[in-house]
Amino acid sequence: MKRTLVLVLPMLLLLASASFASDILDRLNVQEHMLDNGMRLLMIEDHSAPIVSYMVYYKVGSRHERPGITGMAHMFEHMMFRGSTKYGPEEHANIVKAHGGGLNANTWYDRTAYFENISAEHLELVIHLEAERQANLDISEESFRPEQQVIAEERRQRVDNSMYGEASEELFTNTFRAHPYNWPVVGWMSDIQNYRLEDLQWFHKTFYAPNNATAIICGDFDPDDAIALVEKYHGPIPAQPLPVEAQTVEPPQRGERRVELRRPAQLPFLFAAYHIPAAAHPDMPALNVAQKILSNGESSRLYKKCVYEEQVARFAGGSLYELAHPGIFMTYIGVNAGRELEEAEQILFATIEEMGTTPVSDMELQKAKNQLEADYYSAMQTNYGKASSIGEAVVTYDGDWEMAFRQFEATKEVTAEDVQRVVAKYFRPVNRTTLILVPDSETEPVDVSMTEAEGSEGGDQ
Amino acid sequence: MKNVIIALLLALVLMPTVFAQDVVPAFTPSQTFDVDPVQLPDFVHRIMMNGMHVYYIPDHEVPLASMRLMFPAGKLLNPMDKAGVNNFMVDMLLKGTETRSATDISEAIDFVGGSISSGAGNNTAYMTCSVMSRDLELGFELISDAILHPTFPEEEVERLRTQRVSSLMTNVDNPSTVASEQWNVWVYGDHPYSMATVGTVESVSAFTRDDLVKQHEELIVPGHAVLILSGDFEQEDANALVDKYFGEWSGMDAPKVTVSDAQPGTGREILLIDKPDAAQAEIRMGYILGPYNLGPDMYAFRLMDYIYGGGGFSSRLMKRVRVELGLTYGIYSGLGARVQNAAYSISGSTKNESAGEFIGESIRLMQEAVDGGFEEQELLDAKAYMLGSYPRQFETPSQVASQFQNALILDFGDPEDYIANYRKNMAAVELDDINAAAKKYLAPDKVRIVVVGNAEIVGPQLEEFGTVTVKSIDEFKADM
Repeated sequence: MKRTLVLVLPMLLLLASASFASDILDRLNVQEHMLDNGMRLLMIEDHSAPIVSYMVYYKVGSRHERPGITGMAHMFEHMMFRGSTKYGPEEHANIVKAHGGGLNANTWYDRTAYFENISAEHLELVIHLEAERQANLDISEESFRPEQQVIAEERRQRVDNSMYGEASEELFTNTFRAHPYNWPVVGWMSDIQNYRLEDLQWFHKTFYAPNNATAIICGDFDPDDAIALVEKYHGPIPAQPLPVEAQTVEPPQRGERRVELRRPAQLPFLFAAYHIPAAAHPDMPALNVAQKILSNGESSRLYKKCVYEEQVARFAGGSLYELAHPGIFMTYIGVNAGRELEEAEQILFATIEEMGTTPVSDMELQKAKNQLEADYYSAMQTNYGKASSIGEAVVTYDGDWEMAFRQFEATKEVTAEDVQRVVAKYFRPVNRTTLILVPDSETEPVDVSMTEAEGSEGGDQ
Repeated sequence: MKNVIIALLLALVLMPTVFAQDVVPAFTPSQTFDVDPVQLPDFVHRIMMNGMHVYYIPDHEVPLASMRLMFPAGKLLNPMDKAGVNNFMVDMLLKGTETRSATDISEAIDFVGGSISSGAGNNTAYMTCSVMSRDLELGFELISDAILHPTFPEEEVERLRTQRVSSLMTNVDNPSTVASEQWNVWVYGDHPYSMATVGTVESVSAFTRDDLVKQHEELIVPGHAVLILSGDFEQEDANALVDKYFGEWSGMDAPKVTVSDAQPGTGREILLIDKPDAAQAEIRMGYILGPYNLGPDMYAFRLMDYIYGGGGFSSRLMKRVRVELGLTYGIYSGLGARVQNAAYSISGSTKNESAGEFIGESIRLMQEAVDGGFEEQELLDAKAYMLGSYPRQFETPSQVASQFQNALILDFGDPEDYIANYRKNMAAVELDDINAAAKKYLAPDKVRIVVVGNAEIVGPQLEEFGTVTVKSIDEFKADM
């Protein structure tokens, strides 16, 4: 679906951690060019088909927002299609498609990404179009009011009308009490309904500056031509002073937090989050291996124990949110009919914690490494896969995208003791936030607003 | 002094212009129409003695390989009183063979970083396997063992049933799933396509091991099997693996499919499923249109649909309902991929308060397309997209395999011919053709509608569209 707000982090970071890191770097042969205005260009040639991907990553995600304007990074993912000096609303997308291209954009905690996949002959067109909306975006009442309602519908679809969406939001917001990962990428409904034009204009000028962007070209092109084109269209756009980022660090958690969500539902489920370090931390390679052993495939520990052997769950697993700042390992279990949530929870946590007391087998260790290698190759099959792997690495490792490959290289060296150590260190009850979905069709939320309408201010809607 | 003031005023007036100066050079692209056949890898098609068709599609760019084994007909070969039995049977093939337990199989494929998936949907039963190319033989070994020597252990049947019934129970909590599944029933009535792919709480609770054994015997036979291999392998090696693992396979003839056409519902009937806590109304609307392969009309139909509602942001539906009215995150039309009796549908969601407007606009735009047709520029843009995006559907070996699969399963004839002529056929479509396709295939009066939402708010908005039946979502607990 177009303009996807990514709710599950693409596996790309993980993937971008392949074996033979130096070999891979040689093979990818990433070429770099820096524009005078501070915009960075990374290029990967692949002449196997006459097609090309153009991506622009902006270092602005939900963590760059503040209370009151939550969801604004995602709002811009939409606004960037609403027209500019030269083009009307949605014309950007229509032009790309009328030249056989595909395009989309997505927003995450640390960044917003835009891409076009198109025939090689149309590279100039998409560079022109990305530069146009970087410099000349139409931010007016007329352009943003209808889109505000579209985003309200997107939020209803993804969160308010979906229990799993609602549960993820609750989990994050209780796991991060201080750090901006606290609020949902899509934003709170009342913020979405009340954005002000001045805030939008400030946001674009600040975060859509060329010196806050990295462009990536992957596919069938000539690097000299590509540099000339990027210079021609993005080059004249002036740099802007970048704002100081919020320095808030999430304080260490000092006890399990338990949260319940009551909704009409047939069966309970549980989501839990453990704080983990930022993607660049030296413990991350071992955590990646631990995640694979816990959750990849039907022979993984969580599936095998909870779904297969104990038959207490209809699903069970876990995934890493590897982010620029400390993220989470999220684990989940859906309880089977006729079984109790308490029992499922006990089995889930015991299975995870056991890995902190006993080393994993050599076979499991090798399995995890094989899976990481296969994931990497899958990501490298397409131009888009390669471009987005590099783009994610740029925004996640503070510009040092090669760090993704070094982190992967390090997964090859991970030992059973390393896995045991990181599991024991991070996956402890004191570091955990647990959310349970309690089936309940009776309990209504309490309305404390002055009127029943959402967002009682800003009556201009 | 006056001049100074004027100068200052002028400066103030001019200043925004100065700041908003357009620094990005203009660019006028040319809309090109490449109609040449896409470049296919050198593939080999082989028909084995046992009747199985094998396609080899080599590509050495990335050291991965995949195999997909398919058995046509899908739901048309699923007994009506056992919804989901084929899907369950195919999944059970990986839960125990004469020499391997379920755990042996999952351990083996997981260890090499590979994956196996299986299922049975509207058009096929299938099993696919992806591995790094160095492990291709292991993939063959596991798939062949699962297909040829499954044992359907009772304990594993019950295990899968427990998991599946619980998962199905929770479907009723997902408004989007309820809307899609119940719209299928609303449109297809008692035709096999009305059955839920995975089955229902009721059907999955009821089938026996004997049912699975019988479906395996009848359906999983080489006489109608298609195996597509794609990725990094040498033709000779792959051929030897096919001989080794599928050469001895024999079995009954391919099953005959005899299903009468679905009876299209008459008139606009609306099913409103009441979910009082729904934050949105999930809407599905449409009707049975015909075979998926519309013969000579196929290309004109696809272009017409792209412009009406299938083309995402380029479509009239999206421009109106999302971009202009802000009523939805997305609205899409499309012809469901079913070999025969394919249904045309429009789907999306909107807040409960605007469900009527969403439906009304969709029907109005459909009528407008029938009465007024389309513009030349709309056709040019749609063609440019269809022709220009086609090569990108062949970027990876598994995409090439998917293209072959679609041609084979959805009855487009020889895959090579179909792919070679696709762009030429698409380019030949003219405005009169798509206008005729709109008149022939768009049927606003036949639209059958399912809405899952808050009935108190949605109900009154639906009356103008036809007869409304209201049911509580609780009534669907066993039917999901």
